[in-house]
Amino acid sequence: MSTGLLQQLNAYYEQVSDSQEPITDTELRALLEAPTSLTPDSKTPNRRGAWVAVAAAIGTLLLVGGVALLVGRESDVAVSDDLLPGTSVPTPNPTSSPATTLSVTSGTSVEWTTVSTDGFAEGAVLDDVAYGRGVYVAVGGGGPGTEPRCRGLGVTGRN
Amino acid sequence: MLPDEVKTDAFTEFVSATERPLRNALTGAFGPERGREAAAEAMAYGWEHWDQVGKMENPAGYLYRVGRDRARRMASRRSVELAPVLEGETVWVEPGLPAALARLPERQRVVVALVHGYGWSLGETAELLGVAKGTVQSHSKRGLRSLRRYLGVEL
Repeated sequence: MSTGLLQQLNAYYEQVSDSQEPITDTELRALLEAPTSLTPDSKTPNRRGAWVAVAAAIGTLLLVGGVALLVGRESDVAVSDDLLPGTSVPTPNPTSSPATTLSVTSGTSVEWTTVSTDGFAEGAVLDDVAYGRGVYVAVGGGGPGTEPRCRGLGVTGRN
Repeated sequence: MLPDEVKTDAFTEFVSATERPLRNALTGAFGPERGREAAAEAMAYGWEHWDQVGKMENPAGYLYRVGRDRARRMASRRSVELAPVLEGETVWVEPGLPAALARLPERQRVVVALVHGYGWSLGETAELLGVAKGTVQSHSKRGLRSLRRYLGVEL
């Protein structure tokens, strides 16, 4: 090999870039209008819509049930969907001190913004959680002075 | 100007500024075909959710993660397929380079592509990927070290 690795990388990606067409407005429009749009939160009806809805419903039930079992008290469980940045899911147990809030702050990451005890450090990111429709985050709050718990993060309704 | 026109203008401006970086990043991570497809999906998602995405501090970074997740889901159907090296270019490129890149972990591969392939700064890369500069530097070092090992070179 007579050329440095960095030069080769540069040349290789230049080739890749040159051979790739930019994404056009027409393409985006077609994607948005396609009956089988894969966009995660698409409101466009699609052929897989029915089973996705069924899968999402089953997934939610399983998740809620699982979380309820894990947390021990069904009243401690909150499930929220359609999470987007800015969404906050308050702890279902208001007696936690201070209140624990799960919020979606940066796209696909879900972050505990406030915690009252050990278990989850402030700002701990539970990474790689999917986004948008079909994402269900279940939060189980601990009692006063106990560890706040996040028992279920699940993704359902994938295309 | 009507609200829809404002949305269209803002999104058009956003796309013209970020389409290429987003496509490059996703291509670097997942190869030209899957990366481009994921970038288009992310852009479409951006349009559909522009009311929220447009207000974000780092909308490009958010859409990168949207695209990344789309591409990861496609990964169950296809492995990472990087473009082959073309012959007859000015700079000689080891034909095994794409295969070596494909062996890298995704995060190292995208950092190597952006920093060393497309010439992005550590800061630009960190911003889009939503990680610290030090993390980018670390992925870059590890990625290059692995590439050298895979290719059996000291360069």
